[in-house]
Amino acid sequence: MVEDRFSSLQFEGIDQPVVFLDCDELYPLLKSIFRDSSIVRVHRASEPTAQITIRKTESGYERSSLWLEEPVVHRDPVDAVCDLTVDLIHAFVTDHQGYLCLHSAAALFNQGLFLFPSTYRSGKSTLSLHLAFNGVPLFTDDALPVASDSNVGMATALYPRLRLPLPESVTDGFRNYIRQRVALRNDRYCYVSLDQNEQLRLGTTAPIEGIVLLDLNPDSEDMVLEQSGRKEVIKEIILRNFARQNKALDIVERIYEIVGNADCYKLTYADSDLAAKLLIKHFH
Amino acid sequence: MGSIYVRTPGILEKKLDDELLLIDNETDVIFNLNPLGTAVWRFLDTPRQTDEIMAVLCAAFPGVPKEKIREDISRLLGQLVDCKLLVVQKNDLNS
Repeated sequence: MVEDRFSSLQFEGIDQPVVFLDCDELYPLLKSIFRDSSIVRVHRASEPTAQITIRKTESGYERSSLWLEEPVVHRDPVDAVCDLTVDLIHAFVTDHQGYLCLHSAAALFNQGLFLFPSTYRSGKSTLSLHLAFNGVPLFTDDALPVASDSNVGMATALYPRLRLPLPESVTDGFRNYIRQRVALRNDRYCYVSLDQNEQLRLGTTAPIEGIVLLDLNPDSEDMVLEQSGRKEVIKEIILRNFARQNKALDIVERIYEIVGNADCYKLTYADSDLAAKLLIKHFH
Repeated sequence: MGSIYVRTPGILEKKLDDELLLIDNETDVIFNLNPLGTAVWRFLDTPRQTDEIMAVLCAAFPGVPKEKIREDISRLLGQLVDCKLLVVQKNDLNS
């Protein structure tokens, strides 16, 4: 029967359920990478049409969605789950008209919410987890929804994801911290389960106070936190905005406003632990 | 003779210090022009041939080899055309 072949999972904050065909085994994996009980199985009497569908095929887990030009296939179930999170972000933004979703880590310091926009291999997830390790609660390590009518960021329930292997330079203390919190992993990625003091719950909001561009330079001898021009910050954020649902001019004007109201910095660093401690000294 | 480059109507501009963002609200393209690109875009406020653009830039940057300017301009114009921010018209006067 068709009913036995599919499951529908409803994610908090997303209108339409995600449909899984012949791949119920992904459900516990997905549930393991979200901090709160933000996913529930919903019953449908017939196979629904969905904006995101995953089906198990001979080639692997095949996902089609409104945001993919053609289906993608992953053999590894962890990779399939990792990649699905991108579509979940698109779905969230689609369902929250006017929201931006910035490709950025964000952590809540005593001085407010600080963003760390992604640049390629800037180490934002490793730095995020060093911030959590040192007592700064995270909003996200990767994607930050920003409200449509204010410069307010929103926490997501998705656990941070580290690229493996960990850098040789991390301390034994940090390595143990991660080891004790593995939520889901394969040979390339590891999701890290944080508690309520380390990662704020889904929907928590805070005004954006600062934006820090990361320049990870393993050869750098000096760690420098300096003021940054708004031009660089605006360009970085525009390049890394997820929410293509919005009109281009709206995106640009929102980002000018967000950056215009934030303190902007650039952090050049080689060691994530020292960098986290420097940020804490300045902003916590 | 060179092609004539014409700005696509309706492209919006947002200043970013000495740079410029071009915004097409129809296609949702956002294109960042550096200072040189910004100067070229300004010069294209009326349709221009490649040779006109080259002549102005070579005069403005006498220390830069002409071949380098030609390569840069060719790449920039190609990108702007690909993004449908410029259209190319044939130069009928020379055909």
